[in-house]
Amino acid sequence: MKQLYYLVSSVFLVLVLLSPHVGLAEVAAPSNPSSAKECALCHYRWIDTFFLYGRGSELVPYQADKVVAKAEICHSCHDGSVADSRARVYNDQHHPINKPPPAGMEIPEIFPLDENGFMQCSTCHTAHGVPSEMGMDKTIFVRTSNDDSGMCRQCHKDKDGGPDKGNHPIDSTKIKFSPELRKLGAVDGNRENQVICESCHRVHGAPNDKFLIDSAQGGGQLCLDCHSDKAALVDTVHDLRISSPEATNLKGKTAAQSGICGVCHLVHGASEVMLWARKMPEKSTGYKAMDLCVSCHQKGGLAKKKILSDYSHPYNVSMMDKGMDPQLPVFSVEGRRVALDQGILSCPTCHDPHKGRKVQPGGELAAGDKFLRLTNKPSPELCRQCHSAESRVELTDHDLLAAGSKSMNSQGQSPLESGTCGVCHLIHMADNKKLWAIDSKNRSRQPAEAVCLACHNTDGTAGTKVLGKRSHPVNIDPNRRGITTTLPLYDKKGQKNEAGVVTCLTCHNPHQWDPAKEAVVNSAGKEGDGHNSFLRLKSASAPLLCANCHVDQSYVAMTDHDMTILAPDSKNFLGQTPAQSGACGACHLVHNGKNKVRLWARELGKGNGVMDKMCKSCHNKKNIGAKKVPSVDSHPEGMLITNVGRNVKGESNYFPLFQRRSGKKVTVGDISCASCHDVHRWDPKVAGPGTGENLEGRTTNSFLRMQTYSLMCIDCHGLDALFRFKYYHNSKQRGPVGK
Amino acid sequence: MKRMVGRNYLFAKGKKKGGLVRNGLILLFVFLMMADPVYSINLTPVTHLFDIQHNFSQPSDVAVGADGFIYVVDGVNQCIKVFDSKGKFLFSFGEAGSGPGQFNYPLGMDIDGAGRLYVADSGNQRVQIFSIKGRFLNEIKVESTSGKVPDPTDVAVDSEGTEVFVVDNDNHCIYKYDLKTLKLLEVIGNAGIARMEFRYPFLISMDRDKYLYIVDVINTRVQEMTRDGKFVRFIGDWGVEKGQFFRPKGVAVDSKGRVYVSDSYMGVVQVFDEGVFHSVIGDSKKDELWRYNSPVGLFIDKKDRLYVVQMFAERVSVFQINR
Repeated sequence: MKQLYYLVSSVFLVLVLLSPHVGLAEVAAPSNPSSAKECALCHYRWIDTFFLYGRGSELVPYQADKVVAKAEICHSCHDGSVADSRARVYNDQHHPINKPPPAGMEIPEIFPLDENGFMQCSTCHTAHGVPSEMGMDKTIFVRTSNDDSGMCRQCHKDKDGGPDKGNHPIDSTKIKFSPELRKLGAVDGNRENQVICESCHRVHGAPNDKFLIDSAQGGGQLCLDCHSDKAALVDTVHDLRISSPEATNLKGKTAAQSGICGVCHLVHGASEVMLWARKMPEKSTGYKAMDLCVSCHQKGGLAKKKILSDYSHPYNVSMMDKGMDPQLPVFSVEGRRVALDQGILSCPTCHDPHKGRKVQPGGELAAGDKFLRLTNKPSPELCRQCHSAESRVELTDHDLLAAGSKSMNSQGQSPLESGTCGVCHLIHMADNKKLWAIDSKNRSRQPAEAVCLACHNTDGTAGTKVLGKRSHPVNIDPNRRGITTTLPLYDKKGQKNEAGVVTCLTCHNPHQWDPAKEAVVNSAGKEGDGHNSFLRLKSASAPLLCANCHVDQSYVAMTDHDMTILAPDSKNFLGQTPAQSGACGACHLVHNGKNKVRLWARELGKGNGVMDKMCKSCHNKKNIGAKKVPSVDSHPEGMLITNVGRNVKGESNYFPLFQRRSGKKVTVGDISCASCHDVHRWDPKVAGPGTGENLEGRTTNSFLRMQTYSLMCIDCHGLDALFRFKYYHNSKQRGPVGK
Repeated sequence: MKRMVGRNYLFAKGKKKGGLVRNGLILLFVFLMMADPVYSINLTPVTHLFDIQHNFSQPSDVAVGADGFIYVVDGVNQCIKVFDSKGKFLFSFGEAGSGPGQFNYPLGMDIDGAGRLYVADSGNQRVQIFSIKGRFLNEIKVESTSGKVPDPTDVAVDSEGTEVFVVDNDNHCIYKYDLKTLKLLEVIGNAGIARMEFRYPFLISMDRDKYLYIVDVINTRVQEMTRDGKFVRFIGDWGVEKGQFFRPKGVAVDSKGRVYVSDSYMGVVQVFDEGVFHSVIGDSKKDELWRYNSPVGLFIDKKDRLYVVQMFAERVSVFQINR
């Protein structure tokens, strides 16, 4: 019994001494690390007290559950004492743990949940080796490769797939990551600038909602880190924090909550093009890109004061089909931005909803804020994209903005407000289909003419450039006169029409000062001539413009009747030399002439009829044609000569007679200079301009009409006709006048 | 004040009996020893004075000046926050960066007799020295001799401000600097488990006799050494029993030379006397040990006030150690 006592006592003593409860001695240095300890450093449950003895201690309760890789265990080393993950991992912004995955989310088996089906650190991480080709800089102890955020995508399948699946583009390398974004920790995919989940999100330590590396709320800074071209939206009327702070997107978030970007675009979970976050209009326009705008710009919408009404610039048209090549976006019917040959013009072609003017201090919206992609002031850069030829109006007298005019367009806008183009053209809310911004409703005029006269009248902006009473006729149908032209004709609606009539715009291109210069020319305040003056074609020095209709008359060029050659120093009524006025303008004034007949541009000479007077403007002894003054130049009058059958212009027997005062063609009248002479054509057999040589004529040229002697003179003079014709201007050989 | 409760009390009541009764009692006692703990532990009672909470983000260490100012390392917020002796916020200094007065996730801190602050600016691999008002004075650039980037996690300075000891967590050693020249005097220790070897030394403290106490986290112990780097003793061991550590973090020494060690996972602060477990910090009112939420840095001021930084709870708790 005693032995038993000693035995038991000895056992007791040994146990007591070895008992871990008793800290009696200093601890000796271990000679080897304990493998059990190395494991239990994380596997808390495996500490002998719990695992072997199945109990707690005086310091801690019994640990029955596995706690390895729970946040507290991880943090006990990652608090800076072994590794410092305080900022990156242990904060309020980290992937959820201690809760189940969202309903419906399929979690692959490689990501274990805990015994409660909750996510823990160990769901994604393990301290033990796993195959992963990525470096430590990208991933640490994750259960599988997170290459290109592959691990994220295994669970968050609904966030993958890009815009086709209602999500922000992923894997795209289109936009270069900004230095700011990189500084915040944005991660590229395997390719530089490849967007992956971690480009915007950081599972641990992201300081913002949704684990975003930068805030998407308020000013939407995260979005702007990449989409810096959209930053001009801030503080404009499209910044809904300012204009509609109470408005919510499809997820019920205000602009302050979702951010200025998120209130219109959903990064994930969108169902519309452009990841649109707002309710689409009940009645679609048929074009998605427009619908996006209309979702606010409609009756009852957020922008109900800015809705389309009446007439607007054409949309839903292919600009490529119109030969335009603008550096502006075009859109498919589905609202996607596409190539020019596949898309049509839509609201965002001209408007950039992200680019407006800042709201004025005090909350006043910026006046005239149009969110244009390009400015139209002072240069019409936006309009120029498609209407490049028309934009040459800049810096001409027709550029009222450059001219500093204070005239108002029909919407009460000054040139400063409307821009150069807006002086005459409205883009939206016009009261006429042609979008005229000036009065085009002068019923007495063709619309295409009325718009010119709206300014070119004595009370108008162009009061110093009004048409005189004696101008080239308008509202005439050249076709009915046997004239064909490549110049534009206009119908009663003001539309270009080959069967239309001549208007101001037939000869003038109000957008281009000099027809030969396909560029902006600073011509404001300059006095024009036949080289420019907004003419569609030059009329000087070669009479290209006039020749377009008056082909036969254009043959005067390079003949002795071309004043540019014959009398370059002479001047017409307007004081223009032939070089300025052109060959035609030397004798005819299209506007503001003194003479009604043939718009004669020079002083009339003395003669029996107006037609002869015109010839004698030069053919008199004191003028240019002093050497060509015939001693006899008239035919006996009152002979009641008739030219019926010979009065068809263009026929070889053409022999016109003219009314004495008006110069109008008649069938019974007196012979005048122009009856025998075609002053515009040196040789009747040559349909073309002259040679530029000073030739002495014969009876077969000398500006004579074809076979005049045989077809007209012979009627009265019989066989003597040729003799009389030949010596018509020779008083001695011709015999007494009147015989 | 120490109390004897639980098992020790029962044991004290035991009287010698003869034969089977005595042996039976002994066997019963042994069974109880092996089967389940009977809670009996010495407590060092403290009185909770107040907590400091001031938008901390995982604070890590605390130091108290002679004037009672309380300095808290709010490392994730990249600053030092200063409070008066009653916990009222006074000011803060520091911001993110690497320039003078800027921080990159600082962790540990100490204060010398003149009130100068020494902050282990871990991410910037340096120790910054500040005036009592937080004005930058100087810095010690910490350079490892191993080639591996240094990771200074804490600093201990003698009251005279002549020597400073810097813990290099990742290089598992202690650097001793001359504060006048800011030159490295000695590299103490290296990686390992033997004496003067460390596995992730973290926080450090110096007592009034200039003995150093280094928390050796993964070796789950505190190493006590002289200012010359000579080993004195190990304090604590691996485990969850009293006198053992699972995650030792902070260390401080009171006016009696007792060493206080926090364990961030077990959530307790244990007290050691001459290297031997003495007690655990307890609630004097409830007569039970005081549990903390991830206690890390400790400090004991001249009035034997105990300051416990609770990293996860993001607060500093201030206690009066009762004698």
